Amino acid sequence: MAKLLVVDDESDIREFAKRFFGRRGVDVVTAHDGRSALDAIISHRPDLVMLDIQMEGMDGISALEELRTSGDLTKVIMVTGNESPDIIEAANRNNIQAYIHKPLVLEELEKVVLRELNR
Amino acid sequence: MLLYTGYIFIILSGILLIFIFLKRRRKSNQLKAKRQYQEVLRKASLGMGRIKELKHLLKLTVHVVTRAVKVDYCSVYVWHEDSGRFVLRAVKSIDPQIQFQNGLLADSSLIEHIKGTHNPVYIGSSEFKKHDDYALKLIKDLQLVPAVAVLPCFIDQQLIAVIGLGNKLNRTKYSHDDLMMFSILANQIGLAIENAQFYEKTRMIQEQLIRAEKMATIGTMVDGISHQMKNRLHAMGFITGDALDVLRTKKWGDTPVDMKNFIDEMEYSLVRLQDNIKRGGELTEGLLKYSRKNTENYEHIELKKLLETSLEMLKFKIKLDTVQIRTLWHEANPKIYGNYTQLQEVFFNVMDNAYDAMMQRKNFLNEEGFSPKIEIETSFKDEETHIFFRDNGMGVRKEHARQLFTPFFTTKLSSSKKGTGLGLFVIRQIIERNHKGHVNFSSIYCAGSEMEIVLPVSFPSEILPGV
Ligand SMILES: Nc1ncnc2c1ncn2[C@@H]1O[C@H](COP(=O)(O)OP(=O)(O)OP(=O)(O)O)[C@@H](O)[C@H]1O
Ligand SMILES: [Mg+2]
Repeated sequence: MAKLLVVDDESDIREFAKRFFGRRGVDVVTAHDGRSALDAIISHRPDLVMLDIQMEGMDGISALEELRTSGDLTKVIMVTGNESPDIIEAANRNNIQAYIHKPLVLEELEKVVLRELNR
Repeated sequence: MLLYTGYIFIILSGILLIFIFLKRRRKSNQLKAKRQYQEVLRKASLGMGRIKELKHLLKLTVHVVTRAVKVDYCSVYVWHEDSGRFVLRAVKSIDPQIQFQNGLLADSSLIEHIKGTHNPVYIGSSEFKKHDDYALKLIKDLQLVPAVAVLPCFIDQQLIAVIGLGNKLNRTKYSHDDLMMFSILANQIGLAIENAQFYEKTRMIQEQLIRAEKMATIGTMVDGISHQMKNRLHAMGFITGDALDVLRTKKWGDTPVDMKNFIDEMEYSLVRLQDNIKRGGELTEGLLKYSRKNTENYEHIELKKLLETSLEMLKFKIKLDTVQIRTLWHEANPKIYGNYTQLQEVFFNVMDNAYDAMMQRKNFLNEEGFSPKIEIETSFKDEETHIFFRDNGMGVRKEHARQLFTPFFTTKLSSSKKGTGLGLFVIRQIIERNHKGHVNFSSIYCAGSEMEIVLPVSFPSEILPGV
């Protein structure tokens, strides 16, 4: 069963992402900030990470950078609000699969996530 | 016979004495009344200097004058820069039928006469007996106001207000003394008006400062707020999408028809909700982009696109469809080097001013067939792009021309549309300091204005734009 890690500091997002992808037979695990995301990646070994950028605690970019420096190549899609060009730049340098812009249309997210999971 | 003559003489001299006595008494009564009203006026004018609110002051003025001088009516016209006329600010009249003129033009014979002589005008004075053309014109102007006498209020040689008076209730004429007394009174009132205007102006500048500060605070908050808004919209999108998904993935095979209809309606509503969430997201994004002072972000910009998006934004603030906009694009469609958001703000402010000026002309000059027009022209020469904005608005009075770019200078003082007076200042900062360009503004009063913005096509690399 494909495993998706949803990282977001909004509990609503975590809850509904779980419900939505759960219905598609995806095993969804969640984390609420960058630090717990890194832990979850090690303990759950997800196939794909959906990573929010702006979060309380460790933000998405720092988590991504730390992940890549440690040599981990887990697939990541970033969820962006309206980040400045240099943040986008930093994400690009760290090998990500895709961007999703807030607010999203779930169907679009579904396409991207399922595409990445089926690769 | 002699006796008779004696009697008649005594009776006649008695009558004469009584007559003289009565006349004396009338005169002394008159004098008393006069002294009395002079006293009231004197006291009132002393108190006036303390009133800080102009409206209140003018009301009191017409009240006191009608009461003390005992006239049919009294009106006060105060100089109004914006419209270039003396505007009726307060009036009191015994006869409610009388229609007073709303404004007296600065170049009317009456006002020019007053400015020339510095004296009160009285319809019963000897100069009006001549009945020459000049006198007839003045009489006509007076009748138009209407006023029997007009008193000027001068401050430092500047006519700041005029007071119109009706006839005395006892139908006597104004004496020379009366008019002299009035002159003094009028100047007292003038001082009080100036005083009140000064207070009002200071208060307004203070308000503007606070408002500008508030705007700056809001500006810094916008970033945080729009991020928050986005997160909320994001969650809403997620939840709506999930609800839609529940409806769509469930098999509704053998559900009764009305239940199915109900599900369809729910689905329809959720789709619409999703649409709105998406649009809300776009709006917050626009807000965020606009608030970000990404000053480092200088790029080559297509002028035409820039102007078009600025016009797009302007539609949120003003009714552009009441204005004819003509655009003359230079066929090369030159690119300019600059910061998109800042330049958008510049064009926004320019158009905003043009619009205000045209509405002003429409409202104040009341010309038949006036239609507001803006012309935008771009041209290109010597490595510079010139952008002209021409409007056929109210234009600027000569004496204001030098102050326009001063921060907080504004002629938009009415409560409905108060200006901050920061528009042109910001324009100059952005164009001249940040973009190394030029701003030229020229204007003809009551005809229109032209704003020219000159931008270098490329930036000298060693000059880095500041904030
Ligand atoms: N196109 C124009 N036509 C006539 N007058 C103008 C024009 N542009 C500017 N002015 C004059 O210059 C003054 C200052 O303009 P500025 O944009 O700095 O402030 P404002 O328009 O009064 O206030 P705000 O920009 O906050 O609405 C205006 O009050 C107006 O008298
Ligand atoms: Mg303005």
